[in-house]
Amino acid sequence: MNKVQEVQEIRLEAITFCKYRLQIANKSILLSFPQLLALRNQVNKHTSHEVLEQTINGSNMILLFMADREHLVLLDVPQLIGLQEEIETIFYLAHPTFV
Amino acid sequence: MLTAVRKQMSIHPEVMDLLNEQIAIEMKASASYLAMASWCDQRSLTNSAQFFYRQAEEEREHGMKIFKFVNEAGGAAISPSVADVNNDFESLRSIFESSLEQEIGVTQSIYKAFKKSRQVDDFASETFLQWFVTEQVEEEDVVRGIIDIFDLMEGMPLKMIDEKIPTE
Ligand SMILES: [Fe+2]
Ligand SMILES: [Fe+2]
Repeated sequence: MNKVQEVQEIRLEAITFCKYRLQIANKSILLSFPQLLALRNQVNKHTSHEVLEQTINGSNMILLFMADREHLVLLDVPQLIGLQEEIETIFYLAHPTFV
Repeated sequence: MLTAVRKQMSIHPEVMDLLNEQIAIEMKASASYLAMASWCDQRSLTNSAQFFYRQAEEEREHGMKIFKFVNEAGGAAISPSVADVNNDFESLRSIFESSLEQEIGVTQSIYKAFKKSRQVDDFASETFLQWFVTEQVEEEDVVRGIIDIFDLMEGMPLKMIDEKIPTE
């Protein structure tokens, strides 16, 4: 799987002032900001060195509730990492529309 | 730095993570003081028990102060799990010694969050944490003062030493 495909597979974007859209394959999930924070927390837990190692040695898959348990999503490890990168981008990168 | 989430959250995400760790540390300290209070209470070391009950409450207040700050700043405060609280102690003196160690650990983690907020220009968090920096100097000093009492009163009955423990 190359990088370009991964990026296409998982995409997180701010769509309005306080709504975010997470696209995973052909699933689209709308997230409020508190839901995004909760997701970030979940994802960071699952990508900590220790937990990630357990996952890789185990099933290699992760089940995540999203948007206040409205969605249950099954991710493999590359997708999980991709999701974390997308979230970090939203949290750390300068937003081009803000001046 | 203006990030995509700046309008929702004034706190820097890395500082938020450290403050959530700090909440867990304060709550753990609270639980740990409660165990110390119980040990003293069971042995009728009334002043020490009162001292540790008070400490347990204070640590909880510290945790809550950070908890509310994180949410006020638009972040997500996380209610921590408190695991592995030690309830086994060998002596009153060793309890105070481990409480000093615990306070020093808390101070170090406050410094860590303080440094991070300074490094990322999160001035609100830095200012907020200043109170904790000062508080820790006092907290450490109180416990050191108590350990001094043990040194000064070496050989005296435990009950007499307990009477010298400050309860405020
Ligand atoms: Fe504290
Ligand atoms: Fe303390």
